[in-house]
Amino acid sequence: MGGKTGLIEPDEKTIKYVEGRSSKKYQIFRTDEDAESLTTMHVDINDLEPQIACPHNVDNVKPVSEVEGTPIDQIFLGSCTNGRIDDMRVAAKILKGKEVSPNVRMLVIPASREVYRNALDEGLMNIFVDAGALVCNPCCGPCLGGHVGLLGPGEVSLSTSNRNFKGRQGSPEAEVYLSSAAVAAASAIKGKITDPR
Amino acid sequence: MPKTMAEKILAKAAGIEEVNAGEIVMANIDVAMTHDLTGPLSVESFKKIGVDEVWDPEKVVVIFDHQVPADSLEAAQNHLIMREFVTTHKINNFYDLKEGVCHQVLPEKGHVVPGEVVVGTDSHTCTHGALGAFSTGIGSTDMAMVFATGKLWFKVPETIRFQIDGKLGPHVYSKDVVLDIIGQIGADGATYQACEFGGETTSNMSVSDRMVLCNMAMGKWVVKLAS
Repeated sequence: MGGKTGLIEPDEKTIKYVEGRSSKKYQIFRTDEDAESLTTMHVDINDLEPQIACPHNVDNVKPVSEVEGTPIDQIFLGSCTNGRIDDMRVAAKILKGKEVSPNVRMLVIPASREVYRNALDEGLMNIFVDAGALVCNPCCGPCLGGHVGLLGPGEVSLSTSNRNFKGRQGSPEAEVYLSSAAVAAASAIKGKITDPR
Repeated sequence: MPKTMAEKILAKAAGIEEVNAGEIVMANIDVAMTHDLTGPLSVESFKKIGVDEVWDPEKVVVIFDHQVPADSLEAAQNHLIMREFVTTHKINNFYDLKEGVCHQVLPEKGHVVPGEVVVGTDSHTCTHGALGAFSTGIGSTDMAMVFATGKLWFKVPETIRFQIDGKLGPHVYSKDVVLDIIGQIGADGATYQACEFGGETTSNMSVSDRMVLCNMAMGKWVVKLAS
């Protein structure tokens, strides 16, 4: 998508989140159904299976069943897309009592100090460390291709972040697949792209 | 006249009764966020403008997240530039290297509320639309103008609403939903549109899951054209 912004109409969940964190005044706006500049696209997700964005474009999307078995060198669980406590919980549940494949390295990077702290309190970090994942400090990690966890030529990454353009996580000869936290965790155990179901 | 959320928020921010998609408006900015990687260019450009003070230090938020801790001399230099900037301009909303990723820290620390205009020098600033704000990524030099004036022009976008309905199966998440949508419309789809997510599935999602949808709305930088 090349959108200018994403928007969701606030509801009681939004208000609960905002009022628990901010003392700023707010104003709720909603889209009128008959607004002239509104078009609608219906999306039915009843039969949706886990989706993977394949190299080297975010719109090169395939169901997990089509890319299952692709060998992976590095797994990155984190980023502003999927580095939140919900993602840590999903991944920890799958990794509990299991080990990360010796063929992959797994980076777990909580999106914030609060996420990190909550994950510690809930015992999730023990699960990651025991599984052989490397827990890094809250930051953007390899997402921007300029900091920790860069990929070498020919390496393949499965990442919960949002971009997979050529060179995005290091070498232009590396490949980046994008997925949910569940696919990332299940794939870490097998060392290849795996359906978590 | 019936209007979209995007039109209503931008009208309020521009201080006018009504705006229509396609029009250019000058909006007052409620939150201006920058980070350690793109911030230094904003600061350098701001200095060139020759204004002594940031328009409103309370509305500026600086978060270090891209290269923390500094992994090179260049990163260390960037951090120095930004620390000097927040000290000089008395910017209290400064989150040094320990807090985390800007798009998680900004809402966590209560800087985003519904109905505001939020800009950030990062393309994933669109994440905060999940809380009902008009939130978008801008260039570093655009941010310099925001620092100086508190205003920025926008072409009011049209809105495409993704009406998402159905029940998510086991181990299917909002990431899968948004990847499915991107696969359908393409990385260039919905160019310069406000991507509104609605429907039963969106309502059932947590705030975190909704942030995933909005986070991926701006798949690539889009040049905004005045004409």
